[in-house]
Amino acid sequence: MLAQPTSELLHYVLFIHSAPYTQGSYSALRFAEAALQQGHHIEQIFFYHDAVQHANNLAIPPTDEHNIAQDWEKLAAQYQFNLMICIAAALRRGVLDKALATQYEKAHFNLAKNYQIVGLGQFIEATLKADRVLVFGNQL
Amino acid sequence: MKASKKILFLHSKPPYGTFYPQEAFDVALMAAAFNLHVSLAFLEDGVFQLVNGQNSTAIDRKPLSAMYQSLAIYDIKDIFVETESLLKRGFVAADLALPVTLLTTKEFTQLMQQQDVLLNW
Repeated sequence: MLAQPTSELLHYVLFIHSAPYTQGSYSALRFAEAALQQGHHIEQIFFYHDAVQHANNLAIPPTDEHNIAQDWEKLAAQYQFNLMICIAAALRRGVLDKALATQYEKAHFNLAKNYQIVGLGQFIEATLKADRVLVFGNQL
Repeated sequence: MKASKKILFLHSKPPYGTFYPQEAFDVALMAAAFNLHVSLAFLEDGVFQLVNGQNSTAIDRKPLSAMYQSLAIYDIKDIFVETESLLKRGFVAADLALPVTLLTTKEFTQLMQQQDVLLNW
């Protein structure tokens, strides 16, 4: 059965695949803002694939442009939900917290505040609880 | 909370343009480890991921066909392919690296409708 339109408030998990500043990245943020404004609950934002770059706080966009990583941080702080990035995807792309930098003998770490590096199990657990899981990928 | 949700991994992209199929595979294994009912489905250029005898050494990549052949070890046996996508690209089921269930477009739609969670790549 196709999901019917409903006025009931739902628990969402957003599974973001696309790099910062792509359509998928913006669509996810706008969806989250709209859903939260309507009273829906966001359980978790899970950044996977190239989306883990949202958590790279060494990224310095021009000051007259939007900083999408900070937009997520503000929204997450306001509505109290988790920003999680996958550890395997993060290691592959060089997004590390202090513990990982020490473990892998790297001189630096760059995980933005309010983001957590977690395992894929955290995402699967959240999907078990969620009413809806939405994928934001690279398709336009 | 439902004890066991049905989750479908839907692939419609070719194998080596991104690293995403390998990473998607890890999500499927994790879902199986959490006892979700895991199915994989391939349509459009996604069917190229399953073609047997992929030799990806020249592009320094592991062959996806070998990765998918290991699904049975993890007890993931529900693999579906949309027939029209396969035939349009000049393949038949015997060209694939593992046993699959062929579905018509209508059956493929029904498969998607039966899921609790649909993750698409």
